Amino acid sequence: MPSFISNSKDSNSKGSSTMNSHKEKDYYYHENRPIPEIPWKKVLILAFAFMFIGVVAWEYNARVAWSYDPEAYIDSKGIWTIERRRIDHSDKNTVAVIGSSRILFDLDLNSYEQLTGTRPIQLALVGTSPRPLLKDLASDEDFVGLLIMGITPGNFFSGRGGLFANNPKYYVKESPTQRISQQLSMLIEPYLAFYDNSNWPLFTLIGRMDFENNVAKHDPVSMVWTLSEMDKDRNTKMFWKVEDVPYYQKHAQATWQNFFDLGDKFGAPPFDLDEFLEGVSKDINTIRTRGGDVVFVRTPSSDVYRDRENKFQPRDKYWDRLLSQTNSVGVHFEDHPELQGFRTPEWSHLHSDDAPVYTSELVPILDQKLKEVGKPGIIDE
Amino acid sequence: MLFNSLTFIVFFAIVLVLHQMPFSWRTKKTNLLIASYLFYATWNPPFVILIWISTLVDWHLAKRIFVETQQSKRKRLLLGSILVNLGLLGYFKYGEFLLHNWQLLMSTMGIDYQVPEWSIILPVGISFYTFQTMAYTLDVYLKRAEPSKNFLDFSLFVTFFPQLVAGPIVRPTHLIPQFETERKVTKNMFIWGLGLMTVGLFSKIVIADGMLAPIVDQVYKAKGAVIFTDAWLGTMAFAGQIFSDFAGYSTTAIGVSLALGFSLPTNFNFPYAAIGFSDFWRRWHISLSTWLRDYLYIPLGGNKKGARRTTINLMLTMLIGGLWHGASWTFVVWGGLHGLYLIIERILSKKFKGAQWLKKNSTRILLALMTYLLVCITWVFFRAQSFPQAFELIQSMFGFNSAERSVLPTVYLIEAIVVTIAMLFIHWKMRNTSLEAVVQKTPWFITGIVWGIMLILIIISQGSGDAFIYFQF
Repeated sequence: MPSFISNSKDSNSKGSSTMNSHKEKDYYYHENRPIPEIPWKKVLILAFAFMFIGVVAWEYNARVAWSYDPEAYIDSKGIWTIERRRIDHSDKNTVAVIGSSRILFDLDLNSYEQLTGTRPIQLALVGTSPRPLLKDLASDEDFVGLLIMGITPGNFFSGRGGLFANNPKYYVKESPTQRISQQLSMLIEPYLAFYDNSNWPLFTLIGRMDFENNVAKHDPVSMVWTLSEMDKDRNTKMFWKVEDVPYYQKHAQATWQNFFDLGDKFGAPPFDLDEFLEGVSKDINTIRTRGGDVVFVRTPSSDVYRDRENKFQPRDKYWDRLLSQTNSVGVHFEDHPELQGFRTPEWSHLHSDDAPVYTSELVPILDQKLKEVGKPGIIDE
Repeated sequence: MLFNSLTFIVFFAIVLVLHQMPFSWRTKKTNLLIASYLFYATWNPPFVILIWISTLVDWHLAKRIFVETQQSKRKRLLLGSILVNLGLLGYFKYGEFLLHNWQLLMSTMGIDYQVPEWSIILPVGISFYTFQTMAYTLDVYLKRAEPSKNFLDFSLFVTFFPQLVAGPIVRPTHLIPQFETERKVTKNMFIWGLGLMTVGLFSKIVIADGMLAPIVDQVYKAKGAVIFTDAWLGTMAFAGQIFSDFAGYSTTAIGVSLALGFSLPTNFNFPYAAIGFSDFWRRWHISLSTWLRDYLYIPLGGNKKGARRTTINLMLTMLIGGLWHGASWTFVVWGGLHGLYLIIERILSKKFKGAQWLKKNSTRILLALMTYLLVCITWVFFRAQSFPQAFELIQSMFGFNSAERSVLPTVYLIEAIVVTIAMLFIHWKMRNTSLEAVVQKTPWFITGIVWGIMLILIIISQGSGDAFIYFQF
């Protein structure tokens, strides 16, 4: 009987060999692995020539046929961790931003810096509640600055962490090789349009092929396509295709609609607002005790998105309570005409041309509100 | 560091350049040793200490075992080596598992035992290098080999970076002699090494991560029961994923070693063409199955102590083999199922010995397909997070679940079917041959084009650089 487990003579013989001379005749072992005798140099040249042509064609396709801009960085855990590490060397003048994609897209770091002289550390994460990040910064003694917390109601008042809630853990555990790979990756990211984890890996594109689907949960066709472009310090703006290309914009809207439908179908998970706000207050007080502060910003939304937010997280029961219970300054776009009327191409984020204007309007309001309650402002007199 | 990372490309380029410099063989080996420690330290630097402990303990104990004449003392020394090696493995890998099972046992006796918090990180590849160093001391104890005369060679054997974290588990008798005299890297050896690296990375990045991982996750992360087709295709996709991931690592490791002039053993030999389970284990993770054969099954008595004892030995070997993969009872069940298959096969082989119908090609194909499907059932326990999840999937696979929940979109269904059929076909065609023989027969320009296409697909399938599944073992 053929058996991998057999008392073979070779492997069970005793005293027949030494470490230095023993050459066990195991069928899987090659003392010198066989090497096919073919013209290897020609093969290698052909293979690399083929690869070169293929990659150039793919890059051409990304740049010309799909109009992707290579000058952007991939929003990865690694790039976030680089920014998170800046907190380790921060001081009372440091401004950090947490939240989900809205504050990430909508707060233009250049405009903020122009008005205040301080460039914020952008730590907001797409599809992620700022709650775990607040907890992370509260427990970090190094953070003594101002924390701007963007609130997307459905995302924040949910009790769920979201897509990248584990980033603080990654920051703690990032291995040397992950750190080096991130640095190496950032050397090539701005030069290759197809090098983009969220949009261009081959099988991501294949997954978007339009097949008839009958699935209960996940349809790759309706997953999020690239919505933004990011600079080296995570300053982010909306991707131009969402703004200018109708089918792309419609896809983004359809994606949100799909999420809404799934939410309606499966219902929201249990959420205890009292307990939630208690935890938020505790973390905010921890930051304040050591000299820092936290402010809230509710960025604009529109159409279906805003309707749902008003329906499921009505302002008086959520936003107003958040401010009163945490005794915090907050800026809601509905309260200020200057913060209204901006374009939100897919109902949730600002147009890339509007984000700098919005930021320029937001900063003086925030400054004034802070000063009104006797706190230091963000614009130097 | 991961083979599929940018850091590795830079690291390997530096190692290659240093290895080609006109240094003495000793200096080249020292470079490789330092590179190997760096390779490991880039995960978690303090864990290099564990490798040093393992290296020092086995180096000294093996020497003492070799010169010791009294059997009782030799046994004590061997026990010392096993205790240190398995102690480290047990602490880091099985500590939490053992404590939780102890708690369960206590609770059945009505004792309320609180498990202390256990937040120990598992050192990557600890199961692999533990078995590798244990083989050295065991070989000396069993008088299969003499200890190495050179500490540098031995240290490099324990730490050699291409296979350090996920195998193949190399025998000291295979690798240490290769470090003793200078090995010249020929041009063909180097290029074929790069070729094997490409095959391995293609297997990992394109097939395992790009095509199959999302399908598997979709099925195995679904909440609630899934329909019959999704359960089967998700599991078949996992069969393909784990093969492509693990065989991909082994092939890359073999290629990396070859480019440096060293020969590592083949670890996978088209296992999904296996006819029967003993054949499967001759083709799947060969370096582990032969390790278990030589250092566990045979010392237990193998098949030399009667049918009953053979059955017990087989089952025990496979249960331990299962537990080696992870600290969970699901892995034990996975090993137990394979043990059961092997025992049943043993009985049936005796009964049908010499039957002509078994030699027919059609029968062989059917038996190979049956082997594959039965192996797929075991994969459910390997992949599932818990027994309830595993049983739910098994129920769906056997039509005992009235679930109407479909979780695989059309594109995933197509990918799973195409990859599974292609993989089974290729494994069957390659059953009695090797990659080297096929390349030898193929016109050179076809090889060049196929290689080029694989490189393109690797580059354009780039993702998040997922870790190899077997690292966790």
